[in-house]
Amino acid sequence: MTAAYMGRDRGDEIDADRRIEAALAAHWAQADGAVADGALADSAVADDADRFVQRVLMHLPRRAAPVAALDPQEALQRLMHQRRRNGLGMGIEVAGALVGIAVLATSTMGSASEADLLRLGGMLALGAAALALGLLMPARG
Amino acid sequence: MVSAPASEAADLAAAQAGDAAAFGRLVRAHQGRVRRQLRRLCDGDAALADELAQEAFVQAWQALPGFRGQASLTTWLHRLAYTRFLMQRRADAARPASATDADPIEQAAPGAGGDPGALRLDLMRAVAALPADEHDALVHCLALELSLNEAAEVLGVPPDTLKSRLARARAKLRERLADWRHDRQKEPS
Repeated sequence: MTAAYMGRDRGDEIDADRRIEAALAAHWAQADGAVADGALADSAVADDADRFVQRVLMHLPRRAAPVAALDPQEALQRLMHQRRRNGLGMGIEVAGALVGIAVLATSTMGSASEADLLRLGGMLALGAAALALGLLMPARG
Repeated sequence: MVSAPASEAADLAAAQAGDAAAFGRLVRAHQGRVRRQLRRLCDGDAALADELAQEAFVQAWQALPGFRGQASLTTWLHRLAYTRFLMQRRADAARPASATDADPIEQAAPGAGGDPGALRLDLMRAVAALPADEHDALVHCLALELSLNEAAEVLGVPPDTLKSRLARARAKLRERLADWRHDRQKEPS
């Protein structure tokens, strides 16, 4: 660091900062290229901005509108759809449990008595009923 | 086209409700600032900066329903863009360096004499050689004309931390560019 440039007091430091910041501003302005704020810029810059906007809009994923913005009928339909999906999720969980039970039962089938098989049948029937209930209840709202 | 605050508020409300055209107007109004921010953070790599800006705006579209206006829309967008930039920087850091990635700043000696091109190169090198947090402080406080509090919000640090990073960055630049001296003829173009 040279004393001539840096100076020995705060005043010179501030002067150095200003010169560096001015040079930085010039450098950044050059690096900006065609980027600028719409109407203040020339047509090429405006075109560049338009192209950028179009690119962004093309890549927008579909986003569901908030329920409050929908008309009541549409909001109700969305709610029903949501509940149906929840019901389906629950149904899939129950079905998974049933498969688990069936696999377990198959592995112990050799030593199972008639009463055990009846109990297993009953559990499967109950599970199936729960599955049907999970699927049908939300649809009824 | 820069939207007036009232129409921007209307566009914001419409975009939050899912109106893509209104969101397009918001993008149009703010793209310049966000792209500039990213170009400066990416040290002039315009293609990468625009890609990150595009992703930041897409993320803004998805997050817009949750925007409650605690910060200004501009600050919020800058914050999203900066977060996206940080993800890119981390991904780049995790990538194994190749021979072509050699950092010219560390390899090259500072330019000498009054050649404006060499001085500009010195400046670019000096800025790019700053530690990442000081570089980002410099870009947000000096290049984007954000207030200290706004810049701190964008960077996610307390204002005092930002202030000291900025002071350190300035001191390093003064030191690295000491050879410029007071000769006005040597200022970069």
